[in-house]
This record gives sequence, C-alpha cells and structure tokens, in this order.
Amino acid sequence: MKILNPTMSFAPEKGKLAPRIETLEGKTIGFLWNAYPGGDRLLKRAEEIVSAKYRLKGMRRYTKSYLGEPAGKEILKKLASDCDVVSPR
Amino acid sequence: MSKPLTSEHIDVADDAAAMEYAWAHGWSDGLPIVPPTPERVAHFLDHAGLAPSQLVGEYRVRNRGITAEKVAINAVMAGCKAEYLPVVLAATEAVTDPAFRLNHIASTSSPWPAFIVNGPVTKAIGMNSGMYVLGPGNRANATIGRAISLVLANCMEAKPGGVQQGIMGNAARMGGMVVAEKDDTAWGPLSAARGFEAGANTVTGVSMWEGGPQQVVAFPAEHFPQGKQAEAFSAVLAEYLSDGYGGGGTDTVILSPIWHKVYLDEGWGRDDLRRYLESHVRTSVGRLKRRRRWIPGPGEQPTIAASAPLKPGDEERYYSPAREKEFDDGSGYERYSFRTAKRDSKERFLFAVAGGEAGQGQPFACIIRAYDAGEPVTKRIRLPGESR
Repeated sequence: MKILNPTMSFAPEKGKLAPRIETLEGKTIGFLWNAYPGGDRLLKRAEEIVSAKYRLKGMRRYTKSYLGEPAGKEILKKLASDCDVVSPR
Repeated sequence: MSKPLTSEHIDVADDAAAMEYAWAHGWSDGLPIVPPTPERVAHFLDHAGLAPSQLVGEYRVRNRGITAEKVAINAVMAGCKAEYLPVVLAATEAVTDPAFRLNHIASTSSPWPAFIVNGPVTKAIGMNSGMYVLGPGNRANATIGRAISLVLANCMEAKPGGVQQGIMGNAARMGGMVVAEKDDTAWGPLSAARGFEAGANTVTGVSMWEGGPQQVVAFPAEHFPQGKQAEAFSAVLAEYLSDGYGGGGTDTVILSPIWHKVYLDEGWGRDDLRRYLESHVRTSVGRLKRRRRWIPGPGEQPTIAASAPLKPGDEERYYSPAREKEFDDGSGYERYSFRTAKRDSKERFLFAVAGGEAGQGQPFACIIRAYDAGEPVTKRIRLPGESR
C-alpha cells in the first residue's frame, strides 16, 4: 500500500552577505531592539561603549513591534538606507 | 478527483508498517496514526470540494503556505472523518492569520491554540458541547484538535527540534482543546459576539497558556447572596483570572450551563460580564513581586521572597496596562508592548458556554489564559458546496 508524506519543507530564501566594513569610524550604526524586556538597556550600554571607542557619524534606534516575528519591511528598508552597520538584540 | 496528489508517495507493507514508518520519521505526536493512503486523502478532499493545491494556511511571516492536501493528510492521520475536514481547515486559517501571531507557540512557556466551534455543524458532525467537554472521549473534538496539532507539527515545524522551545510542553495539546459551544445559549453564541450572522458555522482560535485550561468551581452556591449571585460568581472568576502571569492577552472563559444560568437569572449579558472582569481582573504589585515578575527599581535588590522589596501598600497597588512605562529608564527606544494591542479593548475576554448540566450546587467554569501576543481569530467553516 502507499501512504502520503504529511510534511512540508520549505527551501530557505537565498540571500547574500553584505560586504563587511573595515572600521566603525565615521559610520552610522543602527541598533535594533527585539522588544524583549531588558534588550533596550543592553543596547543602550552597547551604544555607550561603541560611541566611546569610535567616532561615529551617527546612531539610529529601531524597535520590532513583536519579538516573535521578523522585523517588518519598513524597518528593514530604513536600516538598509540609513545605516552602514546594524546591531540587533 | 481530477487533480493529482503531489505529496511524496511511500510504499509500505501494511497498516502496521505505515504506523511504524510514521513513528520512525517523526510524523506522529507519539500516538498511532491512521495510514494516510491516497484513497483516504482524495476522499477527504472530494468531500470538502477542494483542490489539493488550494492554499489554506498562509503564514506570510515565515513564507509558509499550507495546502489542502497536506491538511487532509494530517486529518486522515489524526483519525478524523471526512466531514470534520472543513472544521480543521477553518482552524488552520485561524491560527495562520497574522493577527494570531502563530510564532508565539515557539515560546519556552509552551502556549498552544485552543478552539471554540459554533454553529449547526457541531451537531451535524457529533461534537461534544456537554459533559466532559474538554475530553477525552468524543471522536470529533479529539481528532479535530489532533489534526491541527499534526498539521502545525508537520507543516509549520511546531515541534521540538523545529521551532518549539517549550520547556515543559502543553498537556492540553494532545487532546487538542477543541470544544463546541452549546447552541442554545440565551445570550447568543460566541460567533455572534465575534460579528457573524445567526446560524454561522465558525471556529474561534484562542491562545492557551500557562499549562492549559484551569477549572474554577464556585460552591457551595448557597453561600452566595441572593440577587447578587452574578456579581459574586464573577468575583470568583476575577480572582482566578488575576492569578496569572500578569499578561495582557485575551483570556477565554468557558462557563458551564449552571454557571451561565446565574447570569441569565439576573439579566447579565456578555458585555456585563466583560465589563465586570475588565475592572476587577488585576494583579497586585505585591503578587507580581512574589511571583518574581516585577523588576527592581534603581537601588533596589531582589530578596528571597520577592524580586523587588515588598513595600506597604503593594497588595493594594495594581499592575497597570501602561506598565511598560515602569520599565522605561530612559533608554530612548520606542516602546511597543508585545502584548496584544487589543488588550484594553472589549476583546479582553471571550466567553463560551459548554460543559455538563449536573451539579446544581457546583457551578463550574474553566479559564484559558492567553499568551500575551496575538489575538483570537474567528473564521467561517465552509461546508461542501459553500464558496470560499
């Protein structure tokens, strides 16, 4: 007899890595908070450490609307257009 | 059946070999499955009038689209009859709706959906809305729930080793937590409260958290003051509903017919109960501290008994929906609550009437506390011949 496979598998989307940067000097860093309690404090401390160590062009803050799903397209667009580097937590 | 089934066809020797194959390949929830032969699956799809490739559950956040064929295969495995498939399909639509935020079932705290079914279909397929409604014992209730569990495990990786990280698991998942509401509730069915027309066949998917449903019993009822029983009974519900993790999702309360009658006798409708609970369900700061859910303030240290020092007045100070602001120590990040946006609205509680009729002096209810992300979703059950 035959039986049918009940599972579905999905091929992950193929992406490619953005080119790595050589230094944080003069860069704009985007900090992405996943909205989980405490993460914002962690990122704030990260901002302090990084900005003390490098002369940054700027820092931007973003928050996901829900920790359990990927950041929305709007945030991803802004990260790509406004920032050189992204630091998520 | 004009359109072919495209799932992988696997040769097995017999039924026993089919069950072993399913166990060996992780298709099962631990119990034996009904072998999903092409004939059985085709029969289910023919009965529902669906093409195998029809998309049923589209969960765009993870770029997933579950087909009718896959739902039918899992429904066969679960032990469903073909006539149950429309209910399973509607439930799959409900939990893959973006508003449900299905990904929350990945949480270490093991939430899982529960479902309330309304409409003439419940009687037509022999669902249980009476005694022992949470099961087990009824084929429709049990296998519909199991089918949903298998669909999500096999097509959405909702299992350990997939996306689920639940530390303890959810004991109510195996039964599936599917209840039919009684169809003769004097204050109207849940489907009407959710905006559907009289006689609609619907499935409402809700989030079930904190280990599963919790029973509430309000007896001895003779100790409740006459003429104030509705309020007194509601106070008991509020006491139990306040005893949770302090989340803000939409909680579901299942009222037994005896309990429901208390409200009918005093002229309370759904909105009256909802309004009472909205103002009385609250968790004190003291309780949150003892449950270690309260983050210490600047300069405060946790104690053995509590996560932050207990102060005079903490038992009378209550958790506020605007609590996120308490955690805002000026980090500068925009604060969304990952709690559902609707928790302060009239969607804060859902009610359904189900359960046994005996026990005049022992009114029972059951509360299903929700995870605090996502909201209930109600979908129409499309019976054979009805358009999608």
